[in-house]
Amino acid sequence: MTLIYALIAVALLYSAHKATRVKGLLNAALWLAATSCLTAILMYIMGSPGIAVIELSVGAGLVTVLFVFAISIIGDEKIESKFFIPPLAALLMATIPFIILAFLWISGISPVFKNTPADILANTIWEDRKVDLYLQAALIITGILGIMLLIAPSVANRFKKERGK
Amino acid sequence: MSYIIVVCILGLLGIGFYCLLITRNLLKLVVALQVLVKGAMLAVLFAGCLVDNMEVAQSMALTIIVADTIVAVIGLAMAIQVRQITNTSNIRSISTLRK
Repeated sequence: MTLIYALIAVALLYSAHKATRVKGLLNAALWLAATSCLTAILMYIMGSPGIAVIELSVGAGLVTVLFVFAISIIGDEKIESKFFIPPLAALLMATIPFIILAFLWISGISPVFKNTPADILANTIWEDRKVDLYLQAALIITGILGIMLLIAPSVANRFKKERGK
Repeated sequence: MSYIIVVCILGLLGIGFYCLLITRNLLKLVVALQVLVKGAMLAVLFAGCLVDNMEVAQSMALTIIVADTIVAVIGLAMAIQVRQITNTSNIRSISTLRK
């Protein structure tokens, strides 16, 4: 069983690496969808199937569709300009989490994983964590308004140009 | 099992952070942010497993998914607008939007 978990972990890290480093935005979006799928599998293994389903439908479905929509509007572009931060310095900064892992490994602090499934998520969400729901509603309204303000003018201009032709 | 999940969390955080530092394409920035947030979300769920309080962890993960999606949506919309105004997706072009 551990081998399966290890394979999922390797596939997850590989797809995340490819999503960030592959050439072509469409390929990056597809690798990101694969990363979402593998994250959802890991969440399911960790005992939260509800969140895994939401991650799968939102992360691998909705976000990928949005990416493809955005790429179809603005297209792909090769950018040639100087880095903000030298790649070596960025690599050093990004390896800090692995240094922490090595420290945990050496000092023998092993996290004890308890694979206990949650009782009833609905009770927690609707009774104990109502603030989260209000926050989510506010975020969704903000997102819809943001999209309307940002995309609507450009789409309207596009339609006007097409009608003019 | 625990170490495999810890490696996944740290790997996703490292990859996302590295890409966030070196990338210059606005859409790639959103991709890097998504990878970074996936690592953070797994970390929240893992913490819930460790303290045996999965309900709260799942509730927080749900909020993270919603917030992450909204951030992606607004980021993509901004990328579209920046590209249409400046004709490039380079992150440096944002500073030229100021009139």
